[in-house]
Amino acid sequence: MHDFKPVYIERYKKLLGEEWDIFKEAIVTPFPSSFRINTLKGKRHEILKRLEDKGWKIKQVPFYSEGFCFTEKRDFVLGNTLEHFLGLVYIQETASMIPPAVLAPKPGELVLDLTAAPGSKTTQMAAMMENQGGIVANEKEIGRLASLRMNLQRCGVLNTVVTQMDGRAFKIIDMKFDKVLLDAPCTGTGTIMKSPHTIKTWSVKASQVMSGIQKQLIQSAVNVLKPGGTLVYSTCSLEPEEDEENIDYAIKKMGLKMEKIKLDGFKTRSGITSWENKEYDSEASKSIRVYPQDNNTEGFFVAKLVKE
Amino acid sequence: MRILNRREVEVFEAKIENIYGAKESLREFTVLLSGKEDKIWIANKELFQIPLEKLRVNSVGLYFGRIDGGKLRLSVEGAGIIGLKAEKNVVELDEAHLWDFLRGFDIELKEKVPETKEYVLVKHKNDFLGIAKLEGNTLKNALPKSRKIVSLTK
Ligand SMILES: C[S@@+](CC[C@H](N)C(=O)[O-])C[C@H]1O[C@@H](n2cnc3c(N)ncnc32)[C@H](O)[C@@H]1O
Repeated sequence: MHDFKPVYIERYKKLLGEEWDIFKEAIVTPFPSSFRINTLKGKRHEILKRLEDKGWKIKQVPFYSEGFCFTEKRDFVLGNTLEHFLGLVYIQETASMIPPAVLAPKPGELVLDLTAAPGSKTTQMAAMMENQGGIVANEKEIGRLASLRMNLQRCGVLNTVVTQMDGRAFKIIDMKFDKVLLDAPCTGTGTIMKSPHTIKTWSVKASQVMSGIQKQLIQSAVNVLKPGGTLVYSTCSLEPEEDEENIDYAIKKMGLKMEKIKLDGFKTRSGITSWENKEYDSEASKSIRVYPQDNNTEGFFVAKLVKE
Repeated sequence: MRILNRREVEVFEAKIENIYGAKESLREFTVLLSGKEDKIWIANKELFQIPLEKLRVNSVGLYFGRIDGGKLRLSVEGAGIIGLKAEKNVVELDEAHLWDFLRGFDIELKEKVPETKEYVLVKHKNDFLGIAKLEGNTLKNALPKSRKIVSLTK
């Protein structure tokens, strides 16, 4: 059983009200494993035919046509299959497919993935862009570059350059992108099921510190965004300090405008507009909270913003 | 990293055609060399709209392969790209050998295959799995460690 800290329980009761009981079960319950089919290595219908022939019992993720999850327990390790070796499939949590689906990069565009390793979302975006245009996949930690490069390689990505920089350095770089993904480093409280230690190390202070870094990364993202360009900000944390508070900052201090997010067939909640005596911009409600009890996924937060 | 000019790319293409019979295989890509000019990378051309000189670049595009002792040693993905156009130096594995190959073992081929000093492309049905060196009738496995699978699921 997971030991939730009193401060955690208290804040989630505030956040969720009566739903806390459902949430506390859902956040530690294993969810169906999911993956993407990688259209850079094969045609969608051919890959699907192949998986069907092998008897994989799967169903499509409602909001993303290349995302799938298993409908029955399987007796094999997805990472050990020929399809995985060939890069025809990529193991990825359903909720983690949302940010690229919302950013919707197109062939020919220039895209920055500011915090990219291990590259789940970079490879997804490269596929959406059909290996055209260009992606800068940036990662600060040298130790995480190998997995990023390995995933780009296995997926057959041709339109990406990997850079190793502190994302905050983009604040003073003179270059412009059509779209920026900031899948920010966070305390990860949406992923307790997969990484139980998260709940042991998490504290309000940790979220506050993270929030400061995230704001600096938002400044970088805004600097390199073209006028009219789109920023998707996401975290796998459900703490308001790391989520709506930063969206409030992006609106009020960075002058970004919010856009509504629509995910067909997938239940989401509106972003909150006040937390612990702080009022956030009412537009922050256009961001989405993904709760584990709603779709049987990880917890996630996603916001879509436009630079005027 | 250095971008090859058209002439240099043609020299590479000729080498590939000579070994595998695949024609004009690199035309659609920008080709780059790195390391001691022995590592080959390919990327889509539009990528170079990005002013790379302003960034701390770690890698560009897809690792295509390298020149190893004068021989072209393709990556798994490089083999996949060339395989689509290849007309020779391709060895096909049956189901039983497929699993052994992916686990990194050498393969004893039952049937005689034409001798070559070059790396051969290894395939199973329509899937290109990478490359191997032929020694007599033995396929010397050349899968990178990171790509080997410990246990396989059919
Ligand atoms: C949530 S993870 C990104 C996951 C990735 N987008 C994916 O989908 O596979 C955040 C990443 O940001 C990196 N990071 C942390 N601080 C950073 C900074 N200041 N600049 C750039 N990257 C940073 C972390 O090392 C980590 O790999």
